[in-house]
Amino acid sequence: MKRPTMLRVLAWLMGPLILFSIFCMSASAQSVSIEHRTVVLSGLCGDGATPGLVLTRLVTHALSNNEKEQVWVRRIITALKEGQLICNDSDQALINDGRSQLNAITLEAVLQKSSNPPYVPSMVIMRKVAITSAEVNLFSSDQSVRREAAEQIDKFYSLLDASVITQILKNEPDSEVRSMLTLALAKRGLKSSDKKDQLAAILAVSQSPSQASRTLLSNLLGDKNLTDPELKLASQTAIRHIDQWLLFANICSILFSGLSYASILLLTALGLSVIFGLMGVINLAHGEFITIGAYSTFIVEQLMKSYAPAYFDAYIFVAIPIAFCVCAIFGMVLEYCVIRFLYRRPLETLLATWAVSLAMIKSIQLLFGSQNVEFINPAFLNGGVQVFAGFVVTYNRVFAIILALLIFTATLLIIRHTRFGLLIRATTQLRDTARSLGVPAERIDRISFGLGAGLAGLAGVVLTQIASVNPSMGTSFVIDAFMVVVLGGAGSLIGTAVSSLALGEINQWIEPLYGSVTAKVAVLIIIVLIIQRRPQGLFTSKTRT
Amino acid sequence: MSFKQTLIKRQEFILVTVLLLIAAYMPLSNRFLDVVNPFHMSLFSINLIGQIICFAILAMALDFVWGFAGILSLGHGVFFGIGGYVMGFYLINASFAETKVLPDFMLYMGWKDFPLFFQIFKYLSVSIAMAVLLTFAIAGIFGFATFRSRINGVYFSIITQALTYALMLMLFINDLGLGGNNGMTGFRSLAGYKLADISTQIGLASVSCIVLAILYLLLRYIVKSSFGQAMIGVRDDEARLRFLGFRTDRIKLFAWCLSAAVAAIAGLLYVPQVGIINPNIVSPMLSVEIAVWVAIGGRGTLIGAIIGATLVNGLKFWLSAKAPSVWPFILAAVTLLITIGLSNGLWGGTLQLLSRSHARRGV
Amino acid sequence: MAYGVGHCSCSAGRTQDEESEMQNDTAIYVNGLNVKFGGFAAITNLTIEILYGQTRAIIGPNGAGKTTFMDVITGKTRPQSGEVLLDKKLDLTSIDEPSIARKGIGRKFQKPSIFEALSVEKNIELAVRKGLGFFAMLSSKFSLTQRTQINEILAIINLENERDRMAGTLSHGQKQWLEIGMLLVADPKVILLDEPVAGMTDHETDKTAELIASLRSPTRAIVVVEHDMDFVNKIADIVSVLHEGQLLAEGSMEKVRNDPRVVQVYLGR
Repeated sequence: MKRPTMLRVLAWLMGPLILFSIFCMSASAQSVSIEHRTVVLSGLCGDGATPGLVLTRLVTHALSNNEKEQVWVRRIITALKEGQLICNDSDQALINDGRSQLNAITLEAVLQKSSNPPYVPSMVIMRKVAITSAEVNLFSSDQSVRREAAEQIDKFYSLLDASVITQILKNEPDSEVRSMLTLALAKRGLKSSDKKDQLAAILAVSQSPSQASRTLLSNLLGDKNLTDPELKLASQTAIRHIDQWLLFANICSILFSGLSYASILLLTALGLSVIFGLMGVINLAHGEFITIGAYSTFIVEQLMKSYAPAYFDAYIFVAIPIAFCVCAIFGMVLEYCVIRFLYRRPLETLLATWAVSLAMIKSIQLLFGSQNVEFINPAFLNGGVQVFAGFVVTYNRVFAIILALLIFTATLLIIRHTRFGLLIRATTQLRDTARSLGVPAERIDRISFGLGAGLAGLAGVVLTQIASVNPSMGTSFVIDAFMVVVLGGAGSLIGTAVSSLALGEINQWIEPLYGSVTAKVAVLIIIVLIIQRRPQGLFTSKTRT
Repeated sequence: MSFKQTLIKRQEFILVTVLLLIAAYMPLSNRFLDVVNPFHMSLFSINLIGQIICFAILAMALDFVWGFAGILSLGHGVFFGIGGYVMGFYLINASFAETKVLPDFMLYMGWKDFPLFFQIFKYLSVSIAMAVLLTFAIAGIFGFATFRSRINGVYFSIITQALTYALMLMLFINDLGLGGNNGMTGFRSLAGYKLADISTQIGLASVSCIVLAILYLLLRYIVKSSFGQAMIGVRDDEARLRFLGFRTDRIKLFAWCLSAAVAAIAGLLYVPQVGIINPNIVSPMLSVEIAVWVAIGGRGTLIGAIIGATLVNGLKFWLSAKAPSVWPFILAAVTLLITIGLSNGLWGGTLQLLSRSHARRGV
Repeated sequence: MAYGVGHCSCSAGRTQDEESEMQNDTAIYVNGLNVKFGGFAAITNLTIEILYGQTRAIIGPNGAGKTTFMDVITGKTRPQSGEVLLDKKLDLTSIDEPSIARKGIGRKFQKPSIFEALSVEKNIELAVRKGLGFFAMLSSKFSLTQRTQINEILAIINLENERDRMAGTLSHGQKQWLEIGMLLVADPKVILLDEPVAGMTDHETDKTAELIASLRSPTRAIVVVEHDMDFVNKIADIVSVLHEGQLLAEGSMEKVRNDPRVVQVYLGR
């Protein structure tokens, strides 16, 4: 047998030693915590009981200790709320756990059960319990629990423990919880008779701007009892500050929703830009390709719900290539059966594609019914985040924006940098020359049309998360899409992007002021005015003809 | 002259005669023939014909500006709607004069009296004049802006669609006092005649036929004049016409405004016969459908538009009762066939067939 | 073919005095003309003066800027810089095409631009300008003078017997003549002809040469763009050679033909 090395010997010795000391430390820590707990709970039972102080100490205990202690504090409070607490004859606190009774301090079962009735706190104490419970919940890792707790504290602001809340505020990550807590603190401060407190409260409120804080301050200003000019001035300054902040938040909101609307416009108009812009074909059935994309997504969603529920949330990613292919195939079929006979006859193409769109809408209606189709958003697209007060960013719109950018970039790269894109551009600019060079013009036409239709399908996929899906959803998007292409300049992808952005933002700026219809009319008038100056759109190629 | 040549040369005469005959036949057959008589025309069919005639006027208006001047408007529903809504205002006023009760949609809004703009439309002649003037004005402004900047072809068509869409959205707003998404209804009388009376409805249908005949003659005259030749010049080679010294934007503007006014007249006649006016009349889909009627009938002939509108709407009414789901497919199929195969439309194709054996004659 | 009168009995509203004044005056004055399309310079620093009573031919290889030159005069294209004046006073770059046409400048396009859906006679009728008002245009009646004028024109272009034919059914040469006829209706001061004999047979070319020669008048300037050198030789007084947007040479056909630069451009390389 090999001789064991020195290291091994040491390890063998140290291991158990270390384990033993850890055990001792935790034991002592436990005993230390038991000591603390005893101190915390002292005065709960017996004569001269001071339950209020106990509650305060409970919160402080939770504040300064680890999770284990926080769990214990919660247990005690739950016991108080549920009427499980019993004070036995030796003034010890016991918790009635249904079958057995636990020592409140150690949470271990006692041998001697008490037959005393449960401890019933007074109304005042119950309120304090509620607040204490809320304060303790503020340590929870679950954001929604903390939000609820903050709301509770806001309700009972006069009972809260200011020092505790202030300390919690320092570490609170969620801005909404923070603003609620600040508001609660401020409300409490405002009620104080000490002017210093009030001024501090006003300042605190102005640092946490929101509609609610503004209302608080304007109520204060409107209060007839407020006579002190210094307080008045402070309030007015605070209100002005909040107004500025709210304005900023409003502007950000509008910019964001403009960006979101622009991304939708871009998605729907991109396919049209390829088909109308590059190929000169007016496709009134473009909206129906969007609808087909949306319904394809629906089918994918249903299938995954039934057959692969574990991966349900990924349905949107699965739907993307599927919808693209489905729509591209439909598009190529349409080109083969109808469009190819009508090149160079734009007005006939318009009517023919209108007829096709009519038939498609009716078919979808017959297959799926004409009511709205309900979608369950994937979990990662639900909800949003409040960037700061008054400005909320929803995940589904962020998704739309990101996807719009990705798809646009991909299309631009394909058209500009691939051989296929080159062939498309050659065929559309000089068809016969391209053919004489051996380019299969008919096939290129078919594939380009398919590309445009596929892009529309992708728009449909994204729209399932944002808009309502029904057989005639396409018609409301197609007119906007055409406007985008007309303004941007047929044949220019960059033009499409720029005009989507411009029209999206303009629409969102006008809408909150004058309503959505006026916004649409205004956008139309703007387009007509711009077209007057530049009849070919914003971005055009300069040619001799 | 052979029969074919007679048919071509005398088409106006034939059409007007047919229309006048229908106008006379409807009331006579209804009044004097028994219900069981197969030649009796029921109120239902007469009313139907009246509505179809209104659509024929509308189609003719579009053909005038599309088939001859080359301006494809996909927004003629706007002018049709303006005529319709103005007639609605008048009829509401007339009902009020009779019942002294405000219409439902105003009561829902808590209004006690008519808003000011409503009160203008108390008299029929004023209303008709206002409808025409209003249409002229709106068409004029829009046309001026677009023609001056040489917006042509498909761009123009798309913009007219957008205009239609915007107007439709506006009409859906309940607060405007225009009936909102339910529209206006509950019309009782027109110029003293009760709308519920059979004779009034028959009278309206006959009047529609006569108006169609008159408007047809008017438009036909214009089309055959030098102005009409200029319109055709605009359609076929606008640049050439400009280099000959013609102010083509003015020609287009005038044709456009006239067409809009005719469409408005169609709307004026339509509403009392259908009994309701709502924003769907201004839907983008309907405006494209008007172009389909003209295309199916054959554009550039005026008669073709009338035939197209009559056929399509007649079929639609007939099939909607029997097989409502099938109708869109049939319309789609017919449209596709005409656009791909028979680009002259039904009447245009017929004319071509008839005149094939003879030396071509100018229009 | 009838040798038409130098100008028809119609009058463009000019008095006898005005007409005698016009002789040998400058009709079209172009000075320092520059036209660019994007980065491409179509015409560079071009100076040309065309007098009344003259027939000027503009020749040059393809892409030399000949059609662009006509586009500028008729208002279809606006130049970057340079003077373009009618009668040395009217700035042609500031008014639009219909106004330029009304000032007495008529242009015939390279591709026959007539109204194929109308009859020959209706094409000519259309060109008869009856005044600005719609109500004048709303009638289909013409005055006796106008009727005579129409008949005269039809005779000049030798389409009297085809007056009821749809213009779309005419032969290529006939379409060209019809277009010239439409221009003549207004008795223009300046006629611009862009490749009038392109695609014509020899016989038709000869006839066209006769027609254009018969249009010569002291109150009219004729500018012809052509490639057919025999044709140019027959009708032109002065020939201007354009090359890559610039004036290469100018003078009689003889002189230009022997100019070494012209020879190099046409035959060299």
